[in-house]
Amino acid sequence: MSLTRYEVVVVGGGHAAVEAAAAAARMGARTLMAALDLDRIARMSCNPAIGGIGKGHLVREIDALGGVMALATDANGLQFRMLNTGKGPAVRAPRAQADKIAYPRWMRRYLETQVPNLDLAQGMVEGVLTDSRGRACGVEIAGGERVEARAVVLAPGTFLEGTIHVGMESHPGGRWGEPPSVRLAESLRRLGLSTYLLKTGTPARLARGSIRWDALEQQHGDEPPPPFSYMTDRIDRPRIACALTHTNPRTHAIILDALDRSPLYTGKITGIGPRYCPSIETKLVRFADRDSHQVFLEPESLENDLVYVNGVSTSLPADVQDAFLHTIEGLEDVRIVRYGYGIEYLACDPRELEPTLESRVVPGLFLAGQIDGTTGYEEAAGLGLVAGANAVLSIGGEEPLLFRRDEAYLGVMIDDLIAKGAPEPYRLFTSRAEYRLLLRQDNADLRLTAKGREAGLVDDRRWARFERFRDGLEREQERLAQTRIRPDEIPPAALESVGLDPPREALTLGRLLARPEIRYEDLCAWGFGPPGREEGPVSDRIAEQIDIQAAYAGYIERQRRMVERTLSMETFALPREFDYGSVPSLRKEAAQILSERRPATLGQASRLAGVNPADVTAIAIYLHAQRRRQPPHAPRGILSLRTRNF
Amino acid sequence: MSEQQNPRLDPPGSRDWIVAPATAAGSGAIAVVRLDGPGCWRAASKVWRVSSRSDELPASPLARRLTLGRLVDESGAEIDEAMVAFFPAPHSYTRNDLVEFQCHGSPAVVSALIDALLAAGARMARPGEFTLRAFFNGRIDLAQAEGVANLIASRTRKAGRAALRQIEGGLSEEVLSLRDRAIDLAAEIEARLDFPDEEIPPADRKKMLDAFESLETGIERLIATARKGRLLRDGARVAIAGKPNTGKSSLFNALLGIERALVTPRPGTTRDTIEATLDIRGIPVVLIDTAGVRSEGTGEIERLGIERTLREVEGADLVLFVADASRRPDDEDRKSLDALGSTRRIVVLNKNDLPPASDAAEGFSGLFSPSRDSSDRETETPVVRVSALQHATLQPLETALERSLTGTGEEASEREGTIVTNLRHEERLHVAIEGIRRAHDAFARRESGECAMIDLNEALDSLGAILGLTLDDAVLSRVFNRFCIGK
Repeated sequence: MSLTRYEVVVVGGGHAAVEAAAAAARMGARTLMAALDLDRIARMSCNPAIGGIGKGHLVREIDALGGVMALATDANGLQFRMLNTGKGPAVRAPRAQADKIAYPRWMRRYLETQVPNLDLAQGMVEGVLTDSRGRACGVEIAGGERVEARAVVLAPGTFLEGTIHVGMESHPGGRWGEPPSVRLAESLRRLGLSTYLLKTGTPARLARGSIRWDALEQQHGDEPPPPFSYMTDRIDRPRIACALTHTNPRTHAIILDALDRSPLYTGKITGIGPRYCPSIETKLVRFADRDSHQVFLEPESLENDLVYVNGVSTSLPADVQDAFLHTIEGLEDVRIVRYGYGIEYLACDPRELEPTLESRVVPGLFLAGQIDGTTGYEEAAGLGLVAGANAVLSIGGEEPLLFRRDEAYLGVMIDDLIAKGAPEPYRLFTSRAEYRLLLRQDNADLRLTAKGREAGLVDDRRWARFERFRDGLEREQERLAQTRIRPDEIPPAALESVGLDPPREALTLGRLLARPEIRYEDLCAWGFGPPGREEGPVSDRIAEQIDIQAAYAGYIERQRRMVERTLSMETFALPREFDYGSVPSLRKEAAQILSERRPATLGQASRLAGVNPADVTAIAIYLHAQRRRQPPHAPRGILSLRTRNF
Repeated sequence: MSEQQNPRLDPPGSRDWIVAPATAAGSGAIAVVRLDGPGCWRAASKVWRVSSRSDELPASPLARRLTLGRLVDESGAEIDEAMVAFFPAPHSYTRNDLVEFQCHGSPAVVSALIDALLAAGARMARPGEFTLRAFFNGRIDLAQAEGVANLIASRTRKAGRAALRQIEGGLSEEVLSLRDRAIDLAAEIEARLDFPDEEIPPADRKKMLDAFESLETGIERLIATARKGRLLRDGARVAIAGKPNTGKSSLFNALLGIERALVTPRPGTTRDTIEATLDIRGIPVVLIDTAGVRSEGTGEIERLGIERTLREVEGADLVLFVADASRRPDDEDRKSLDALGSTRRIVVLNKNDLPPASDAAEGFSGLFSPSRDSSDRETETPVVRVSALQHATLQPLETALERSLTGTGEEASEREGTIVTNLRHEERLHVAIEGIRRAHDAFARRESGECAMIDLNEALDSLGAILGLTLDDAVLSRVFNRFCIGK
């Protein structure tokens, strides 16, 4: 670490830190990433999988903004699937098993060789330095070394004052076998950040050779594997199968008998765990009528012999884990390499964050990942990218990079976090988005790449590829809307094959495509394709976009109108220095919350916990009345108003 | 009292002490005067003395306890003896400090007390301002606030009951329960969208379709009460019409119980319409006496009167078509009946006290029944025989009126049930049911769930808006409660 002055210093080595450091460096900022162990960069501490419904959407958005996660997954995946193919395109999403050994190695190599302006350092960060005005200006590393920086991004994951629980035993730890960050937590509390405990957990790891694979149902990925990144055309790697088995009444009896030795049920663990990722003991207590639960066996890597046993996350004592795992079909003779554990760690109340992820308590300090109250590699990575980019933009005094709820799942997630906080670890679901049909995994680049390019996140290669796709799509949409054909030009046999009567009069190709029975490929097969169409990934994506937009046409239109309706709330700027106490009829509690949180817009105000619709009305009416009395001035909305073609 | 037209939001003022009589104007046994605002006890203590013999100031009033004392004005002169109750914040109707005075119900006492309170620093409350404060302080929800506003405006007992149920949460409860069922449906759909890898069995389509249908029925039932609600809020316009000299004005007077309209044996006595407001079985009714409709022997004035009659008939909720039961119906009867157009009506055969003409009954049945062959009870025209001169004979007419105005056959349930009396609620319910129906269609067509959810969410928002509730993660919570999610 020769240089000790940076523009941005990123603390941590997980998925959030990696995206934050890569984003800041891509934008040209001199960046340092200080991680505890450079051999464990972007480690998958829990299940060796990336993506899923909602999470897969996020990875596509990260990719559209030039992020690393999708590229790393494509380069290190062991099995790829597109989920929900039986449902509509808006709720489809990619998921992949990733090689737990190869992924961190690839990531370190990538950061070292592919990202200019980035230095990596190994060490335990013990405190955030602030200047005389209370602004973050660097970090202190164990041993007394100080690194100066103009902005600091913190992404300590579960390390912040982590405590590991196995049965009634507990010890300090950030991950199994790794020390927690205790001094850093103290430093944050001293700076005035509000911290609270969260809980998560992970199941045991099994020895691959001790599992009776032939007794179990195999699960294979899709062929050909659907890639994560818009930059990847084809995935050529060895693929593996997972296996499916189930718990049974004998398993359940053992677990229920041991609840008196469960740290969760004896009150030893007080942190709040995620409801959607419960431990096996919680599942049995809450759904007592079920006599079986799914268990997925997921090999971790081609390079080791470990198998992740998905579905039985637990913090029960080792002897109980041993006993119940052996009752499961296929695991009769299983050897447990490492026991499951629960972990409690500190998060900082995300309601103290700006939408840029900058702390309101300590300017210049950005928080990303589990410290924001989220869970999941993908959520962390997304927050990391936004924090890293905004750290750079804040240094230059430039417009921040923000996303509305109708633009990106990133916008939904961040808005949820700062408006409602994260009383339980926050995970993204598509049902959290009100504009789900606009926020699809197939159009993340159409939604975000231009915005990322403007911020300096998207390199030339990605931009050129995106432009080719976007321009091709626009040209083709224009052609479909303009080209009229006579009914007799359509081969009658073709119509018959899709079960349609010939149209009565001439019509555009666009109208023909509006019939649910007709797909874009049909038009091309009937000779109505674009002249000189070349087979390839770009034309495949154009065809896919045209079909999806046709299938959802009416609904997409309605969602756009909904966006326009709420835009007035979202763009109704609230003055930052506004005295909420002066609003008549505004409840004292609401005025207090609003004074603390200082929402930027009325839309944000309406989503704050403790602010009810009546309060929002009171503010709106008061400000309307004030504005009528005063000469009009331009709204100070900080949110971008560009509308986009989704 | 919609959000857009809140008249009382005019700043400043929400921290003022406000005062107003809480009981209706006029003389009664007891009048209640309310004073509200942070620290308003300071104003109260200037006009109230603990006992008739002492001028001692009550240091710390007993909260929520009625205490006897006497009221004095600025000069110290006694106004009245009165009970006072102090409700310190937040345990009051408005969640502010609130004082209630119960004094003798004389307008002079009430106005002297209010004058004294104004002198002590309070100002007159604007209409509905107490309720507004209660609403803004989160004491009552939007539906309840609107119920209070309706209560204040309600003019009769029955309307008062409908408004009261709304305040007690009748409407809130029903809408909450409908919303809860819609959240169930949404959870069923969302669970299968967001968690494809979980062991969630396929949705029970039949059960889901039934749930959609029963939800629609529930909302429809509420919407159906809105017509009655409007009636209770605005009152019904009931026009009395018929050919001249059938005793329309006599009927008008008889229903009103006073001689209001001029009655003579001469046909065409009533040239202009006369209106009166009265209470028929708890329904506010604006009764309109009109000029008789006839085609010949008419002067200019009477012709204008007839035109006016036709306009009134058109605008009426119900027409009492009056015919002379003692005479055989003629062309004029038929013409004036035709002139009623499609307005709902009750046929009143008046002058039942006179001996009927030999074939009158037959004639009337020929006049009214052939065209009324519909089996739909709603459109069936009731025929009632009365004598405007014999009060007892009016009872069946009042029953028929009540039935026609409030709908038939559901008397008992509708007395107990919730009635939607607010236009904004009615609109929200319409939006909700349209959303549910579209979601139902999408589900029935087996479209992917995210499409149905757009409409279902719209319905959920709309139902929530009646209560001033936002959805937050109610659907996700339901999913986690119902399905074992998570690996």
